[in-house]
Amino acid sequence: MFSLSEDDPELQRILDKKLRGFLRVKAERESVHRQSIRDLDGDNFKDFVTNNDLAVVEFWAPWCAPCYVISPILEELALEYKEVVFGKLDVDSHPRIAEAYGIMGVPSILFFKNGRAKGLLVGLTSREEIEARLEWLKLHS
Amino acid sequence: MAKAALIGVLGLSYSSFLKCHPENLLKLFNTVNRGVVENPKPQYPASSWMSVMEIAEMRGRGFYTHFGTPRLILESGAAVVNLPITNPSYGSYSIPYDLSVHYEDEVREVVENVLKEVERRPVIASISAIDRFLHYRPDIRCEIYKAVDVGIGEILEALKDFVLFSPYGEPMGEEGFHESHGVYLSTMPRPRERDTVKLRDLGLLFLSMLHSR
Repeated sequence: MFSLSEDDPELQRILDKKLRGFLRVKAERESVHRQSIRDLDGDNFKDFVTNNDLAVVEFWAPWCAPCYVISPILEELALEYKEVVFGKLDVDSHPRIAEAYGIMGVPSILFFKNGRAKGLLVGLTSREEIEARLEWLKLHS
Repeated sequence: MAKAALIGVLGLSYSSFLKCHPENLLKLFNTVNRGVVENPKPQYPASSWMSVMEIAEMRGRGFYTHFGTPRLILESGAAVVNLPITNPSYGSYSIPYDLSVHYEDEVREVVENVLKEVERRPVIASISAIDRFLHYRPDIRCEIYKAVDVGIGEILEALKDFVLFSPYGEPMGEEGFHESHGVYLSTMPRPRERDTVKLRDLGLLFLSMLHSR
C-alpha cells in the first residue's frame, strides 16, 4: 500500500519534481529579464545608440564588484521603461569604445538621446539617480 | 595570536546587496578589499568547495565519500566547520544538505563553532543556508540574507584577518545552476585586482594571509 504521509519519499519526489518545474519556469522568466539588457560590442554599439531615441549603456568589467551590485537595478528599469533601450559593454573586451566616450572607470552609465551622449553617472549609483536622469532626458532635447 | 578565517557562503551574491541591504556586508563592501569570484556553470557545492580546499580545479556533481585530508587543511592547520564537501557536511558542525536544518539554526551554530575554534587556530567554515533554501524558497531571500549578515557580523568582529567569499552566486532554478559570479571581501589584498578570483586562488590567498602574519 502507498503511504502518503509527509515523510513518504515517493510523495516527496513528486513534490520536488513539481517544485523544480515551477522553478524552471521562474528561471526562464528571470532569463527574459536579463535579456532585456542587450550585450553590446564593436559591431552593434553604434546602431544601438543611434537607432533609438533614448539609450542607456552600462560600461562594466567582469572583475568589477559594484557592476554586479548595480545590474539588478538596470534590469528592473529596463522592464519599467519600455521606451528606453538598455545595453552593457565590457570595457576589457572593447576598450576603444570606452576610450572614445571618455570612460575612466567602471561601472559608468552613459545616457544617449538621439544618438548623442547626454550624461554620465560614474560609480555605484542609486536607482533614484538613474531614474532622475532618465526623466530629465525624456523632457529635454 | 591574531585570529584568521576563510568563510564561504554558498550562493551569496552582490546582486542582492541593494535589494536586501545586508548592513554588515554593505559596510564590508565599502571598507575592505573586494573582488568577484568566477565559477562557470554548472556549479555544485562539493566540487566548488573542494577546488578551494585542494587549490586545484575540481568538477563533478556529487558529494565526496572518500578523500584524504585536503591540502588546505594540511598546509594551514585550520579547524573546519560545516564544509559541504561531504553530506552531511564535514567538520566540527555537520548538517545534511537539504532543508531539514533551519537557516537561522545553521548560522547560529556556525558562528558559535567558528568563535570557539578561532581562539586556538585558523578556521575554514561554510554557511550553506542561501544555497540550500533559495533553490526552493526565493520568496524568503532577504530573511535569509539578514540571518547570514548578522552571523557574518559576529564572526568578523572577532577576527583580525579574513577572506569572506561565495564560490558562486544565487541559485537560478535547478540544482547546479547559479550566477557564475560570487563575492570576495577580504582584509587580504590581491596581487592583480583587475582579475576575477578563481576558486583555486582562494586557498592560496588564505595561506598567504596566514604566512604574512
